[in-house]
Amino acid sequence: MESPADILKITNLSKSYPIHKELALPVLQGIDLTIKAGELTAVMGPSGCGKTTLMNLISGVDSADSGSIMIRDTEITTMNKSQMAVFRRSHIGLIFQDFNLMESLNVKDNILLPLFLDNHSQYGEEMFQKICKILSICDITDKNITDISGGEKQRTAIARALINHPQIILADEPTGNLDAKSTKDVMEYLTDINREFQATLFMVTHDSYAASYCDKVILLKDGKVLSVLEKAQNSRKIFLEHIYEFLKQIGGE
Amino acid sequence: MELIKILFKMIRYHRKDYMLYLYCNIFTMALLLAFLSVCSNHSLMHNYQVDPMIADNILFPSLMVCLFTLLFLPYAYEAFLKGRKQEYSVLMTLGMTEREVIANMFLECFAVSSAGCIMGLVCGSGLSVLFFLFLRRIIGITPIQWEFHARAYLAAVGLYALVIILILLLNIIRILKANLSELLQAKWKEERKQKGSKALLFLGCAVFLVSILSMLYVFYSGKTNFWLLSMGSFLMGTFLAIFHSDSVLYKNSSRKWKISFGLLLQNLKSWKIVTIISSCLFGLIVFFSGLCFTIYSYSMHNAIAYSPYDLFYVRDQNSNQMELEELEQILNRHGISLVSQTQVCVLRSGAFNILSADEINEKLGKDYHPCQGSFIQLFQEDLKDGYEHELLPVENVTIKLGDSKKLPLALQEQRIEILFNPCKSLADTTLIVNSDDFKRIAEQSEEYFLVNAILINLDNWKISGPAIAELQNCMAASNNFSQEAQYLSSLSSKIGTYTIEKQSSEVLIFWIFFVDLMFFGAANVTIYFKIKSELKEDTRMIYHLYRIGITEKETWNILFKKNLCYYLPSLIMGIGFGIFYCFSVNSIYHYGLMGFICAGLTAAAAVLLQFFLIFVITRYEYSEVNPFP
Ligand SMILES: Nc1ncnc2c1ncn2[C@@H]1O[C@H](COP(=O)(O)OP(=O)(O)OP(=O)(O)O)[C@@H](O)[C@H]1O
Ligand SMILES: [Mg+2]
Repeated sequence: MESPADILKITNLSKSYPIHKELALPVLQGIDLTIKAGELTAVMGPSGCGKTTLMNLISGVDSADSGSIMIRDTEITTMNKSQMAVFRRSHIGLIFQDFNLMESLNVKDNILLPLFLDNHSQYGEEMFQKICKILSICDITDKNITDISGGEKQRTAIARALINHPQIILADEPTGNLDAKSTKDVMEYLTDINREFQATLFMVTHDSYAASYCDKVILLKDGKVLSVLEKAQNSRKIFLEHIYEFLKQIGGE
Repeated sequence: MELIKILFKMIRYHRKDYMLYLYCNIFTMALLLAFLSVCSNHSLMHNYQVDPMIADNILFPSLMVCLFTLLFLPYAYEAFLKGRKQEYSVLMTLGMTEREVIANMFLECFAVSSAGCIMGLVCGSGLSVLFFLFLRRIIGITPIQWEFHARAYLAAVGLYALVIILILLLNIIRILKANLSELLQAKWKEERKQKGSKALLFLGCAVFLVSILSMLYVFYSGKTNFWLLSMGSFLMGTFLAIFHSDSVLYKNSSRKWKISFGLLLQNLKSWKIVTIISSCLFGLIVFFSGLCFTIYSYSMHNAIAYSPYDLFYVRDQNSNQMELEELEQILNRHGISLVSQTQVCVLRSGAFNILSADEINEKLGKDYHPCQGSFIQLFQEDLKDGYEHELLPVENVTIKLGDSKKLPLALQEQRIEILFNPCKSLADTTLIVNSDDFKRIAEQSEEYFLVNAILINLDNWKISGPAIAELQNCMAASNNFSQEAQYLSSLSSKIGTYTIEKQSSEVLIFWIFFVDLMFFGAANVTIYFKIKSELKEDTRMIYHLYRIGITEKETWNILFKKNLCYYLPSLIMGIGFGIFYCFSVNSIYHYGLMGFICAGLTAAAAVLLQFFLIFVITRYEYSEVNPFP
């Protein structure tokens, strides 16, 4: 087993969007984060505080203004787009807030797509069946993306992110469209995966319940890390209460 | 392998988009090839039986078709790619490299383009064959026929390939430069990036007004170059104003139009491109038909005006020596009799024809009185023939007489009158001199030689064609000249000019019809392509509205108004340009009103047809979009 070295190390990360010629909207302002391999981390914060932006930077979909992002020992901010693409498909599983599924393909093809891109579809079938079972989407694998519900789309997106055993899973509100039961199933599955493959999960959520499955909760506000809550040795219930309390203090939910 | 299968699945899912794009390519290619084939056809462009002005009127629209290709193909590709970009960017987030995406784009573009190119060539050949078949069989101009010219094919393929390669490169560069997160939203962002600005709207309006004023001023002071310049700024001003009209239109539009405008604004950028292309096409239709119908209306009149005699030829020692009796016999054999016959002496050199005033006054009943030592310069032209006239005066002429004597002549006056038919055996400039001078030149000059102009009127010139053909043959036989010399001494007849003019007009009318049909088709294909490629999005929008609650009638109205927004601005602008331009160009030749009326009538026909088409298209769209069970 590997030592729980830092898998993700972010230092002084900043990002702003240009609004008008000279004007720029600062979204992230000097973020510092360290995530250990195999950790489950949740990022919480009010809408528009830059959570999706952070995800995009880590996955290399968008580029940062300044700061560094190290995944394992690789600095990704200096990679070119092709290197990033190859890196992404072999190390990162991505779940988008708005799914980004291909309408032209059915559920199964969508899920298997990362394997096709990597040119090894051999070991896919077994994994595919397993994931489908856990996410209970076995019945809809032949359906078109346009014909499935929002929750089903979400589960398809999760399945796609998991299919090629990524070392780090970046999930933007993976349970946003799910009912309590499905949320619980998905979170339990993600915890299982985490345990089984030492996959690191970094997820954005508004749901304190989902967050309570994690080892660590990072609170973002106004583009800065407000605080970090650690689960440590507490049980999930106690951690959940911690989160609630903290959110109440800062005037959230 | 799996990846290729997946890519094929995507293509199958989007087959309608591919087909649409393919059709556009076929259409453009066919249009281009058909026009280039017509252009490079020798039997049409260099035909003695057709007025040379036809050739100019064929070249101009063909150039416009090339321009259309340059504009429309890139637009069609962009619209096609817009849908694909979304998928490419998702694939890229999953780890597809740029190189793979570009290879894919390249293959796709290559496949569709070469298919479009080949099918377009086939269709274009068919179209041009049909064109010439029609000209031969229906209009009956037998010497004109379809010809194969590798040049036309090469030019068409070359232009097409050039455009495709350029747009492909441009888009590859764009993908390379774009950020992934930008690409993910490209579909929406690219269209709505450029919002209209009020300042530019006002600037456009100002340019428009200033151009109109300066054009009016320049028009009355007659400086053509400056006028063209103002025309350019006028066009730019109009487009600028139209393109920034969204800055005020949307906010101030009534509630009923707002949703339709919303649909339009969703794809604003492509709306602008489409509007430029189609307004140019509509403008060309109106302008070109107006111009040609005007030409048609005066070309018949010209045929008669320029041929005052039913038969006219020049006789000298070597050519066209036929006795009057023999000539009359031949005419009689064809049931035509000679009504009058006059002979006029002409002194000619390479540069001038010199006539004696007394002879002309006596034989032709004219009234010319040049003094001794001066001449009257005669312009045998009709100022109202629809062409530009340059009446350049010849100030002085010095005629060498024998023994190194000279006869200087000075210009006394200029007259505009048609005395003779157009004739190749006479020089271009005609001078009328006093009979004493005439005698001196005839007797002493070595440059000038005396010829006879024979002026004949018949009882019925309209059936004189075969008789004149036979006369021509007889004279040619007795002349025993080379082909070129024979051509120069050929007869000139009213029926000859009339027939050429009539055939040319028929070719012209057919050509207008063809050009109008093609351009109208092109404008509609352009706009329809846009409507069709947005159908999916619009369906979604209408479905959202349906869930909020709109009635079927409202749905119809929204779509109809949206289509009006797509067609009307370009139609109105095109008609405005067309009529205005047609009026002003024809005004130069004194046919402004005629040009205005012809262009106006064409415009009215175009509007009627277009409204009918908008109705049909909306009905189709409605049946596709309709969310009502
Ligand atoms: N492409 C962009 N251009 C300009 N501004 C942007 C862009 N993307 C996001 N923003 C702005 O950046 C801020 C952060 O956006 P982000 O999507 O990261 O928020 P978020 O924390 O994910 O919110 P939510 O919880 O609602 O998903 C927002 O104020 C948003 O308006
Ligand atoms: Mg977000």
